[in-house]
Amino acid sequence: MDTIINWITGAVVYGTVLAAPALGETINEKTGHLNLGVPGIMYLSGFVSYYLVKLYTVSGGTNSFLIAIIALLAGLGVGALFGLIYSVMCVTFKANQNVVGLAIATFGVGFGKFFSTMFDVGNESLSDAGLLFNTGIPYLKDLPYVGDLLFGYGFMTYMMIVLLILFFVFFRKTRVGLSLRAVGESPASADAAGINVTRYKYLGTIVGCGLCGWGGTAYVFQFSSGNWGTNNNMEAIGWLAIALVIFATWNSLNILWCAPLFGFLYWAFTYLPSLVDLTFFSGMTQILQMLPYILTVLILIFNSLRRKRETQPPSAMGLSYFREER
Amino acid sequence: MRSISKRFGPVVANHNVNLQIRPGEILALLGENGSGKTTLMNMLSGIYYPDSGSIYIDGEKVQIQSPSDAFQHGIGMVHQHFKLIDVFTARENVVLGLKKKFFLQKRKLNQEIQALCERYGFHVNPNKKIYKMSVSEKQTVEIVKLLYRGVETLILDEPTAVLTPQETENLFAILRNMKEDGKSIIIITHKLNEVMEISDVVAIMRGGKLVQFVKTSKADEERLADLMVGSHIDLEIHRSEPKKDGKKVLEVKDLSCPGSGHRLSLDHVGFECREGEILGIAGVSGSGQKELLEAIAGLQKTVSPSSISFFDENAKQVELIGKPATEIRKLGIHLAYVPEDRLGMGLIGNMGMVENMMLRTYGEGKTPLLERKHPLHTAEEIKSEFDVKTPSLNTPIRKLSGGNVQKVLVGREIASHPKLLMTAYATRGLDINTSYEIYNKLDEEKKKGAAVIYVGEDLDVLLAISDRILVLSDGKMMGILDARKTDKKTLGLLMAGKEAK
Amino acid sequence: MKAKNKTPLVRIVRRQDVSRTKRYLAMFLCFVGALLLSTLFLYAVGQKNPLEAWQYIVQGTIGYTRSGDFNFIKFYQFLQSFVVLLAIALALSPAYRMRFWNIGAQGQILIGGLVTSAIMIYGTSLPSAVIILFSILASILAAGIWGLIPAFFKAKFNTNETLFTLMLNYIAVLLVTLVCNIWKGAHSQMPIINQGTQLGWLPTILGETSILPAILVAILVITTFCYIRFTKHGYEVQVVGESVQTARYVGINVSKVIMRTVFLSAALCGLVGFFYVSNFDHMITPTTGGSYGFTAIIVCWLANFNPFLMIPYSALVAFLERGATNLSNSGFAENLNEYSSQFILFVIILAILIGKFFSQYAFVFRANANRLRKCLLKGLLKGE
Repeated sequence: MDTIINWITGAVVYGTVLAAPALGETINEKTGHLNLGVPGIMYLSGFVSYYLVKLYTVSGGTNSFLIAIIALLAGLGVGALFGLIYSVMCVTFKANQNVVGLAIATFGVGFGKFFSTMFDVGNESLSDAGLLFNTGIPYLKDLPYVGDLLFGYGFMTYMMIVLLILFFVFFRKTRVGLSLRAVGESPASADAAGINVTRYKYLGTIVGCGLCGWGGTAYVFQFSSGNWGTNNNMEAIGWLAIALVIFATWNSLNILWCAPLFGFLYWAFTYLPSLVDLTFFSGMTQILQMLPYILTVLILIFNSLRRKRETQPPSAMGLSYFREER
Repeated sequence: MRSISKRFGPVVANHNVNLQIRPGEILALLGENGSGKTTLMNMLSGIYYPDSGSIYIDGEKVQIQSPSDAFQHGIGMVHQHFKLIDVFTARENVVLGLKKKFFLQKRKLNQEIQALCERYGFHVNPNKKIYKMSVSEKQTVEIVKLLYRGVETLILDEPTAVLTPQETENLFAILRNMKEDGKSIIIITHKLNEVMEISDVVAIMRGGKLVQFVKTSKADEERLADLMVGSHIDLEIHRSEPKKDGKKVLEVKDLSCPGSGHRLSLDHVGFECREGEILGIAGVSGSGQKELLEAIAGLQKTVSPSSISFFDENAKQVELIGKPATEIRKLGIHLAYVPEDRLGMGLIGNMGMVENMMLRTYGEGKTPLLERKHPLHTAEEIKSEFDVKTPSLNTPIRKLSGGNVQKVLVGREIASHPKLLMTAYATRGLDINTSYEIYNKLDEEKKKGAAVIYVGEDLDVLLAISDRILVLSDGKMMGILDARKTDKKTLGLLMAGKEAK
Repeated sequence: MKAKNKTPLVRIVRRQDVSRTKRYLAMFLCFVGALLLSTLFLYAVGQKNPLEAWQYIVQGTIGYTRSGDFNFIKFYQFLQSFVVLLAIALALSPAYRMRFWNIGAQGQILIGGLVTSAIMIYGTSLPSAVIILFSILASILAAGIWGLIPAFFKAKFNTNETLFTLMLNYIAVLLVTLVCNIWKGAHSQMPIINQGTQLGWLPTILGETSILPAILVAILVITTFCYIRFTKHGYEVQVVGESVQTARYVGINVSKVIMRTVFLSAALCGLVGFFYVSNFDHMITPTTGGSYGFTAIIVCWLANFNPFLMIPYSALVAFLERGATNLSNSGFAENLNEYSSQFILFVIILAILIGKFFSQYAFVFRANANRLRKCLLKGLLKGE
């Protein structure tokens, strides 16, 4: 029983890390940008939030509210900065989105490594901050049975749930959301309807990339409990987030259950062998670790098989827009 | 609009154009394709920005930098390719981009749209998704969208090109309602009869310049045509007599093609083609013309018990269904389909003429290497025969003007003198002179004994060029008429799916 | 209503037929700008003379040993990075021409390397030449099939190949981890394969592992160019890449072309894996190939899929990478570690992309609008 509860809670934490970039990427794609830079954005954002919090605590800071704010702002800021670079390149300079995205993915990680070597960040753990990001809801978390399962997560989990719902409403029910979607579906039509395409593309990209940055923050503080040394999974999560957008059919509400599902599969290698005796084969760990990727592949195939219009990607995704194009 | 000029690279699209329109007036902007009508209107609606010249509204100079500027000044345009978002509902398209309350109030918006519809006589379901709509419904949504924005000057770019004669009548009735209401309407067209029917004043453009601005009541069709084309040309299409007792070339029986959902895009069509005749195919666009030609060319899935038989020189019968496209082509069945973007099918924009010629022949020869001499020769031939204007045979054809691109496509198919030549929209967007060149080329092929299937949009041309006309409506065959004995009205009724009386 | 009586401050205008000189000039200017920015970066971070930093970077490729001889070791290290990058970029290019965005090079390299290692480990009873031959064939076949999986689904159902190939990378990494765990047994890390017997090791030229691959890659540049330009296959690849609709329309078997091309592309990546195991490293780890699989994608793209242009671009990347390592090892400036190249490369890549933009578009500023009109009128007068 404990194993299952641990498995589920682990899945939700992993899902939190995954949900932030998945939501960010959804917003990116809704405005017509396939942003492949997510892993790089997460990596550098994660590092910067870690490093700034470290600076703060080393200088004697203990205010937990400030720690949270610093971490969140750092992640958001680095992400938004990458979003700005991305949109300057892809919207204004009409560069190929795949190239810019891959460059950010590769070099974002490179920058992270550069800075972590430069500032000589070792395996030092910011355990206080890690604890802060994993503190559940007071009182409720102590309830029997449901306490850990429902109320035992760090604040970012609940923040993501709220954000996912908010963005769902935003895209469905508001004018700005409608305009953002229009820009991704058909910039020419949006333009003819009087929408400032460039402004919305910048807006969507910067906000989306900013949220991707929170993926890094959540990874460092909630998933790794304030460690920087265990960042080897971050890139994979970044790529999975992009795949998750397809699984969730560009609907942020679906991320609510898709992201923990990926987390559930991710942790299979830890919890499944002890639940059912699978230790007879030494390679079982790796095979179980393949599960999220295999699932993604199956999702991709499944998604290409269904032909419903509402579940297709925004039709102008990947294309740059120039009004006077003939 | 005063002394408006605009150019795209070396091409001058508009040069010193002056134009004016009063409230409650319908202005027809008449001109051939490529005469700069659309460009001029795009500047009025904020899609393009003029290189020089200025726009005045109620005597005041205004700057229109974007479509939203145009809306602010009460100007809106229905583009030829609708600017609607397919996965949105009609309502969402109508209210898109308006800066009002943050949240969308579905019920209230629906009521507003309904009120607007009742006022002018539209029928729109605000909850229907655009991709589920017919062309004329989409057009209605476009107009409602503009009216909802309080547009006072409405620009319509070739609104009737996609409509049946009956739908056109409806549209004109609505336009008259709006005129009564004090709106100004600019309608871009190249159809003279429509100009006479609907407009109060007419402005004629040629080669990017405004050549005449007159009251419609003081103009007559022939004079307008002269002004539009420039020099007086023979509007007669040459139609030779069909070959007597020409052999059967193609026999189509019970041809059905799957469409979206449970619908058939082509529903039990049957006909035959003989050598030395032109079979015209009439129908509103999207009635199954494309599927029909593609099925014959081996590019379209069919539903049994469809049967398409081809008869070769020795009158030997060959079943085409199930054969790959390349083999069908080897039999001498060629298809020249000109899609709306001209480049989508049959040509590669980033390749030059020579490489585009190779598309059809590259597979010949046994070596794994490409052979370039022969296509080079063909390209030269087409260039001189069809007078294709290109800097070099290797210039990527997307850099050529639309008309020239089309000459390359149609030229390539005609140049190989097929036994069965199928063309669809061969003259779409071409100027009158080039169109007539192509009509004559088709007639020549017919005289040489080829069977020709001609799919066209312009009923006048169809009536003038074809020997027989097959009418399609919504994938169903409405009948085959003798082109010499029928008229536009009959065709129109059949196209709309009504049985002839 | 507020009347705006100003022309827009900046407008983007598409240029027609910009001359080649101007295009290269735009590129060159952007490149110089990137170098200046990088120099500034070296100065800001290193806090020492940036020109000296550049000197160390150059010496990463072309340097001298303490005794004053040409430092061949460094040069051959550069050559290896350069050749590997170029080979992967070349391998990817036919698929990219076809708009099949294969970002699974890393996985395909691993698979090629994995089967090579397997043959080297289990085929010790065979002569070396036979092992090598088998390894070549097996790596081509295995990686080709690995690439064929996403290609099949792309061809049949139009499945998104970008993410598919990416996921296959992770699966390949885990597969290699799994097999390595078995092979290494009690060892703490994967040992060098056949270290004593050198069975299955590719012979070296002049005792260097990177010369033979360099020669082969030179041939590959020309072959790839000819394949695309002069063969029917290459023509089909271009047509499918430009317009699937047109390709179907003229009767090209699109599925076949997609699968054939991706097989080739992946097989070549597999061959790179073979070279890693049989030639460079003589062993395999989950990190074999490093991040070259990704960097090569960017190289391939910047070069517009042109095999000859890939040469300078991959040389540049390899040069900066070796340079940054050298700079870091030299201890010149504490803060300039081996990852400094990442910043310089990023700036250069963005600059090249901006250069590409300016070779197609131009900004027109408000002050220039009048001048433009004059030019226009002059042009009109001349034209008529």
